[in-house]
Amino acid sequence: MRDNVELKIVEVKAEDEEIIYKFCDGLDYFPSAIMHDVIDNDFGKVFLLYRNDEVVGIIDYWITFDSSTLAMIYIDEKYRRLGYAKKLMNFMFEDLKNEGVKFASLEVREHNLSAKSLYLSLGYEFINVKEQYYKDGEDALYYVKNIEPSPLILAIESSCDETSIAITRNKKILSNVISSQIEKHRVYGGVMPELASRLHIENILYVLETALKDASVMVEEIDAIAFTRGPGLVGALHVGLEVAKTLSYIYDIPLIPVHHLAGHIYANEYVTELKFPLLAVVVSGGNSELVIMRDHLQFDIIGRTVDDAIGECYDKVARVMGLPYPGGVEIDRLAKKGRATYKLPIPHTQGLYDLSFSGLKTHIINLVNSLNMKGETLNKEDLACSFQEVALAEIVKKVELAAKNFNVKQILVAGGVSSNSRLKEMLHNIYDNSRIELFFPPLSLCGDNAAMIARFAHHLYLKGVHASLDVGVDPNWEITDFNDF
Amino acid sequence: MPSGLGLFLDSAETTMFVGLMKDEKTLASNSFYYPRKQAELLLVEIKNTLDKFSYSPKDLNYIAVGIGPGSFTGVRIALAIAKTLAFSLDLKMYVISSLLAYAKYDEPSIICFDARGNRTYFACYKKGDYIIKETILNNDDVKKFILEHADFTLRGNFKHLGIDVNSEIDIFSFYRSLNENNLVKDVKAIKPIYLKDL
Repeated sequence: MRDNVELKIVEVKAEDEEIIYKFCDGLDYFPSAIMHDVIDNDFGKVFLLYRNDEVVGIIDYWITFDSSTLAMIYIDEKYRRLGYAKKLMNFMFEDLKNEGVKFASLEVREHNLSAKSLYLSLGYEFINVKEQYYKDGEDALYYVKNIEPSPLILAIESSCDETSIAITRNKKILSNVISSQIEKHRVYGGVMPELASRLHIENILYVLETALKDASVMVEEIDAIAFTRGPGLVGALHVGLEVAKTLSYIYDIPLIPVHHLAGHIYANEYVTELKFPLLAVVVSGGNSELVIMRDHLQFDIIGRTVDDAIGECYDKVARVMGLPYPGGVEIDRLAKKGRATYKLPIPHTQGLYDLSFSGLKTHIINLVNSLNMKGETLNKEDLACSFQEVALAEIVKKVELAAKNFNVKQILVAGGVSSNSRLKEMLHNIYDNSRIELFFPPLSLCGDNAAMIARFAHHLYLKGVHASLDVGVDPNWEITDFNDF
Repeated sequence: MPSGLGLFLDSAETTMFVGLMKDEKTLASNSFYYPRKQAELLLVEIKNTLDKFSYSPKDLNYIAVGIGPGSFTGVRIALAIAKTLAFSLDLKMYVISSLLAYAKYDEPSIICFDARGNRTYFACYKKGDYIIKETILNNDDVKKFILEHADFTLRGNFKHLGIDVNSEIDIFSFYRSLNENNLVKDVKAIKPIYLKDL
């Protein structure tokens, strides 16, 4: 680490008036004009750049439909030549892409050489001179830049027990509607595949209608239709597939098949830029895998469960303990009140990074059954805690080993089990204040959702990946084959 | 009976059906045998059918679809496509029992599909009206019924009953069976006829 400087960009609010008046005192673009953009101008957006807790820069721009104008950018003189202006400009470009803006313009003082060279390096082109533009009589140079707007993506996820449709533009989630079937499956103590398929076909158009309404988007405007092609339950996947294909056909929009687990991994992109090499820890109800990524769209599975997925193991243990489905949430909740008093077997695997949970599961099933037979009471809180400690320690051990051996910059946790509070705590204890960055998706994107499918589809779209109308699903699709359909 | 350009679909059986009617004229009536490939190919055949007449989905006035009973997956595939088309393009949507879709309109028909497990999806129709509403029966009961009703036309698939009948949909009969009662009020809400619990 070079230094301990933390930079963050924060949107200016009405209550920041004092900060603005202090920081922008004496500038061409008055503090009152900036506050006008913050409060009254619906098209104005203003952001401050903080260096640790100190304000060091400001950017103010207007977005009017598909064009934008830079109103002002300013960096504190003490902090010039550190790339801070470029950082703010790039932040603006990202936002413009999110907003579907196609055209950015600005005026710059003729004598301001450093600003001019920055803008040219960022892809602006000189158009003309606006004579005596500034109050002191100086001319302004008018610069423009074309922005490649990010694709508007509609994504459909129906691989298991959530029907979800999202509409996104780059990292902006315009809508992410999730119709959960959990309540309906609970009576069966787990996901019933045929029930999942039946509920998908009943719910999916309601979800589609709401997703379009929430995003204020018409299908005609969409640039790509993405859908989960696998892995998952075959009958459930079929419903999303057919809806996606039909929309693609009607409106002649490219169709993008997405690997469900790649989606889970890329859910993290809503909170961070990916830095490679990275270790993705995929822990869900159907899958447990350690994946190394050396670049975007490049996956190597270095380890995986040799038997049950971690989430599946949680659910089965919960069921034998008489806890409701989904068991992961319930075990996590109980474990907080218990202590690890039960001695449970530590899993063993052949592969260095492989995982195994069935021995642990069987041991607990036998333990519960024998306690029941002897009429002894089971301390559910202690058992939940004991189980969770052993199962998660197994994952954490393999993560530590892989992170070290592959010299990763980031660890991304993905899949439904990424919402587990104890897993979060264990990994944070190791990686906080380390050179390896640790990320979990936002809680709302931990479970199955279509926003994550849209995120991966965004990358595929930029690579020109799409499928023809005869594409099918693959319930056992490997992440390494994400491009093969 | 509906008017204008109508798309007819059914994939409850092992053969899937794509038909196209313009008012009372049959433009296309095709059955395809793509076992385990319906999910891949039904939409492709719909596109091929419309392309052949230089139509796009936006030219359709209505859609008619069989909603089972039959193969769960097959039924859902045709219905997912039909619902999405009708919802997106604001088309009129007619749904009928897939068994009725296989009936001969002018002939009293016994219609059967294999329901597996020694059972049959069964119905008996005459001019679009039920004599016996669609149900699941044991194969032996079905065979007995057929023997007792030798004057009925056999439609659908009887191979599992040891009878060499495997008929295709007659689009004009399918078309004539449609009436206001089959018109869907809320496309979003429509779901298949399964006849089998989970």
